[in-house]
Amino acid sequence: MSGRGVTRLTRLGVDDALTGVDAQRVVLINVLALLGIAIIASLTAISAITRTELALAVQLSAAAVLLLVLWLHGRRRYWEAAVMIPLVVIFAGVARPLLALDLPGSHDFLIVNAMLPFLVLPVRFGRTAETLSLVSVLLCGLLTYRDATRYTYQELMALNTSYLQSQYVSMAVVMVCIGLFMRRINLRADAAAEAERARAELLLHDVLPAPIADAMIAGDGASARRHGDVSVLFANIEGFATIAAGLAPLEQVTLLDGLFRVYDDLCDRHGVEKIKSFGDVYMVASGLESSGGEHAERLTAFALELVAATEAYARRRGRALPLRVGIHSGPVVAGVIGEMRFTYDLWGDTVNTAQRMEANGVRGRVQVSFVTYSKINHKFRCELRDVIEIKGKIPMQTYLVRAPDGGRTP
Amino acid sequence: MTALADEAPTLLRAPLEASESGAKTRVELVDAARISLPTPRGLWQRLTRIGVTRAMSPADAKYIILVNTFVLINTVLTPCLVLLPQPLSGRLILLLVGALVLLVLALNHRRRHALAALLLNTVALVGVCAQTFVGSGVNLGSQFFALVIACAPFFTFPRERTGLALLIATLSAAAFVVAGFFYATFNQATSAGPLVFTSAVTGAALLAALIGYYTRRIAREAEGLTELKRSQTDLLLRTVLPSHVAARLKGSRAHEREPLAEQHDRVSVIVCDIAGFTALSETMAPEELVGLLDALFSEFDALCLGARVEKIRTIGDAYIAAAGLRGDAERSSSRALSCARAMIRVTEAFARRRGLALGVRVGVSTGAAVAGVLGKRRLSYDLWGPAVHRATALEAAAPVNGIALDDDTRVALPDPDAPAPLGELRALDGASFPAYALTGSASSG
Repeated sequence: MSGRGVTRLTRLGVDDALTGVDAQRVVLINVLALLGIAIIASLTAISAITRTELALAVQLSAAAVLLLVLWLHGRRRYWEAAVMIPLVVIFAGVARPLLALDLPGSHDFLIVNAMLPFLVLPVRFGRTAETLSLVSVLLCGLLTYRDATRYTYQELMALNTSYLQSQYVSMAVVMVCIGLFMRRINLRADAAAEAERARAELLLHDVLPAPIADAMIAGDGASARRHGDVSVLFANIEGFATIAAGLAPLEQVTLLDGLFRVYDDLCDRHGVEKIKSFGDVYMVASGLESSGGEHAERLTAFALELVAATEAYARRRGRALPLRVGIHSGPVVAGVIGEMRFTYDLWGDTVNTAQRMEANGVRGRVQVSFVTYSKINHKFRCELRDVIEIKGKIPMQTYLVRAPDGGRTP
Repeated sequence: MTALADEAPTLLRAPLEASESGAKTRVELVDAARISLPTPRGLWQRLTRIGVTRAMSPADAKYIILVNTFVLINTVLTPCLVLLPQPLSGRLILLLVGALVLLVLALNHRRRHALAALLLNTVALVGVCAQTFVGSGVNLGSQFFALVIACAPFFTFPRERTGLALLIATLSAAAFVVAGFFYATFNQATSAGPLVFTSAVTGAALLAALIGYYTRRIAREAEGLTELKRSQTDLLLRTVLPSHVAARLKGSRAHEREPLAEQHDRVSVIVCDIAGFTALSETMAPEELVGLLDALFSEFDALCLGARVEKIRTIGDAYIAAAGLRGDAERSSSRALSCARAMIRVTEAFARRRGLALGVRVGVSTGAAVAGVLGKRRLSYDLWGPAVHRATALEAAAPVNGIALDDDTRVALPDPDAPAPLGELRALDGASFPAYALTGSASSG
């Protein structure tokens, strides 16, 4: 028979209604049925003792049942087909003593049959599988004892050499086949299940920081946590609402989306943590992870690139997008609040001050507080801005960071 | 209702064990280590999970659990087999195999899982071969174990080691066949008697049954766990993003995602800000303050769910929600208004309960807006457009525990003349519009 014909036979009963593992199980049963028919045929061909009338009758009935399995699959009768496989092995095992057939050792297939029901029967037939398996073990014991009282293994082999040898080869082949097949089924099912989970997890990790997301998946909840020393950045296009007033709302959003995508890539490159964007405001922090050293320097370097990237984006889009950036450093509380649509967020005076650094900032410049200035001034040239009044605060001294070309080397 | 009913937020903050149907499996598998009194079952569970960590995927853990299970089965079977009448060499081989196999547990404990599987299968194979070809001989029936262990590698080797599994399996199967072909060569003198031979063959069949049983059982438990984890991830995802947005974003990688924005012609936006929050923040520790926000906003979340209003997000102490985003623009302004009133009621009760001077200002505006998700990282559902600009301006102008609204929202009131005029306001985008205020009983009643 051609390879394609065999493939078609092994896929008998597989259709779109069957999901992955169930379909694979149907293929396994078809393969076992075909393998069984081949084994019966080769046993008959090789060993003379199988060619008595009675033995032929038993083997023909077994082959007929295996054909029935294929037929049942053709009719989409899945569990009936599955249960036939262990049953036919039991039938071949008990036929001999019942019919006084002289085929010693023909029950050895019951060893394989002790495992088979667990692999071929659908999951919901657990009890049936256990029963069929137990029956196989018991029958195997009884029939073995019957032979063993008369012959040793070597005597038995000497009497029925070709028959038993070919049977053992088939048993070994069947064992390796079902093992390999089950592994394929398992690996595919695992991969499919994990791919599905990974898709959701991947997206979740784009929403929440990985440790928070993982803690929430594990059901641990995520309580707010205090961080002693982090740097917080706010960036905002000055007067975006008026700049974009001439655009349709959807166009405004697309303009912002393009800009924020550039920012998101910059965050990844600089190893700083995007906290959120809201409206046309973009908020970033660094130093929240344990690798917090030099967080102010990292965030300042990021801020300078942010300004440059915004100018480049504005040129590409042919409109003015004046960016203000403000940075402040200090303690914050980080976490998620509420029960729905929560985002990872920061709270505390540090956040408010950082936002004011931006609100009172200068177009196209990065304004930092004195605290941040004292952390970065060894690496970045800054110029003192006049002491400024900030709403609800005592007057603060602030600094503007110089762009790197003029600033790196003092 | 159906649009919002699929989001079950409270499930997430409570430990998930209690609420999920798969909880039993989870408790059995993951929390087995917590059982303090070692019942035989508990001890078995604990021993089979040696080397399994919580971070491990259930599919990977499955193979380790099966390795440990087969080690335990061997440890239980060994004394029975040793007691069978047989030459001394046979007993020694059995004991040696039993001892070596215990090393597998140690290897798993040290996270050397592939090595553990290799050791288990190799020791089993070498032991059976020694027994059959050197020790007690074919008449004892030990070669039948070689047949059974021919499928064990497929269930025990880690996922990426299929080639090695096939090799060991083939060797085991070959050992069984060789015993059948060269039966005359191996130790003809030994004859152990029918009982021993029968026990060996039945033992092999029993082992086959146990392999089948445990493979199926542990695979099912792993499936249950994977499914549970997946549903938890999905649930969390549906909580942080609206389900239709999550469904569209899922499956595409960050860099290939299309901008996701939907234009809505008529949406009612609620902006609710806590009055007196700045004053509070000067007297309270930040942790306390965040706890306070969490408690109040969680109550708002429940309100929104009940009022068919979609929470958009919180920004600091401001809470933003909208009605009419799910193709339910009809009567969106009256839904938003009743939700706004409920927010004020809830806040008043909350402030009384805690003895705090706390109130809210609420702005409600109706008009066009774009809803969607921007950027690639820290995605969040957000709203832009004239209605949002107006609602923000309205919130700032609203009286404490009162609602400020625009014209399009006002017409939804049963008595549109009830609200007092607030004069002209200027939205963030520069547009001017007339505003009105609802205060006192009109706003919270």
